[in-house]
Amino acid sequence: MDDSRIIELYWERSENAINETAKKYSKYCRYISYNILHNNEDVEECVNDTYLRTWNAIPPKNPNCLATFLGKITRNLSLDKYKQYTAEKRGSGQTELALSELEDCIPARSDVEQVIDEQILVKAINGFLEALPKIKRIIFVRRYWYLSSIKEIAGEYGMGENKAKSMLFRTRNELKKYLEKEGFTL
Amino acid sequence: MKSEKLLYTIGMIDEGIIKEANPINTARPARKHTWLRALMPVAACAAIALLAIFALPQVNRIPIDDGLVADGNGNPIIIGQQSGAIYHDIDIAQIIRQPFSDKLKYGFWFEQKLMMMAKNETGIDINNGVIWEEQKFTKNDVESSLSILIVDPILPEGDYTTSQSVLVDAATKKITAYRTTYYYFDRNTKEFQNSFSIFYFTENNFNAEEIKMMQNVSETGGEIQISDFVSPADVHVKMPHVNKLVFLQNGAGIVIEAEADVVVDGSNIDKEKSLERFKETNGQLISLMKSICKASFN
Repeated sequence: MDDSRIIELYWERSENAINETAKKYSKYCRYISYNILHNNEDVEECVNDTYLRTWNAIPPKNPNCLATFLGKITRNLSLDKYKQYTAEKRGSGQTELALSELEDCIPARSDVEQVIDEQILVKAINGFLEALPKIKRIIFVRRYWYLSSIKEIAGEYGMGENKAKSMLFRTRNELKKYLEKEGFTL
Repeated sequence: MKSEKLLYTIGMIDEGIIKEANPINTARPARKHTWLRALMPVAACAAIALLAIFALPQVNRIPIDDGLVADGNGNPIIIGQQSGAIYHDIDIAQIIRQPFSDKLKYGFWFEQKLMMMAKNETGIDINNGVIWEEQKFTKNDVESSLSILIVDPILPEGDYTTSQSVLVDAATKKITAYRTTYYYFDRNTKEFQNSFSIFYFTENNFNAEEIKMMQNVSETGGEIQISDFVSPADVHVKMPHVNKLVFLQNGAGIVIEAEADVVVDGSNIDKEKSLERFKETNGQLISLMKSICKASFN
């Protein structure tokens, strides 16, 4: 079933909307959630919560792209659950690594969280990513949006893990410089 | 943590950028290294030699019928007998469908109808307490789960791929029905032509009376009778071409639902060719059902 029809089902308040969403996107949502949580039970819970959130969000929302709409919800729910994990000291998976890698991108002298508006930062990151060569952009998004492992990314794009790591390292440095240049500094 | 903030912020980037990197739909084969390519002829020779030594003597002993694809455990996945039918291992998302925006009532498709007819003993409101989940299964899975004997259908000629799902009770996780859909498409253009969904279930998990009312395939004295196709209720405006055959025997149910797309010439619908395809689809649907029923009675 195509996305527009599935969204129509939500608008019609047909319970089959969730069924069709699950049929088409459960694999996608599970992939995102599993990369963060590495725990099947929690993944299942996050994916089911994603359907419920979607049911509550549409209407009034009318997403342009259902996949990324669902993906964003799954990712946020999974990251939230991951926070619980770390609080309970039972976290695992790619999130910890991704977080530590991204630490270097943030200008270090002040607390950016308090200084910059979130939306402006998003816009800046969008601008940065759009300017990147396609392969670098995709690999960055795979790593830091989908939380895919370096091994998986390297395998899928036919490169060694070291090459993938160094490409990500360079991109992170470029992002750091870009953010500083755009005024998100220190 | 600042990196955590950034990770959340990256979560809000443009949809187009996220979509571009979608690992599920855009999976691409890994580029082969040059040195690996150079070794390929050697590897191929070695593989042939190993095949000759170890595998070929076993071929006649593989207990799988012609036309069945084995899963990772060597069990055959139900894809029927393929006289002239060619299976392709492709994602159904690659098959191009005709866009249609017709409003179809819930229950139009048999998979929805079956959900509506499920005996809901759990009290769960959503989807009548049941849900279809994508899941591969084998002929043995169906037979042992539903305690029925099933026969592989003789598939229509053409290029096709399949998808499978099971109807699961949300509370108990018990599987109450199985569905395999065979999608036929044009090999060159990937354009969808028609599809046949075969459902297996037992009456006791559903509203048996309602299903009996839908039955339009019966057997008397070894003769198979097919009455008119079941007309879907509550259909309005233009609808896709869909027909169902419903066969019940000894508490077991087999339903085959066929769907066909119109034939489009440029931006116009070719009415004559479309009707021809619908007629052919109906014929294939009847042959499919007969291939299952006849074998059941022999």
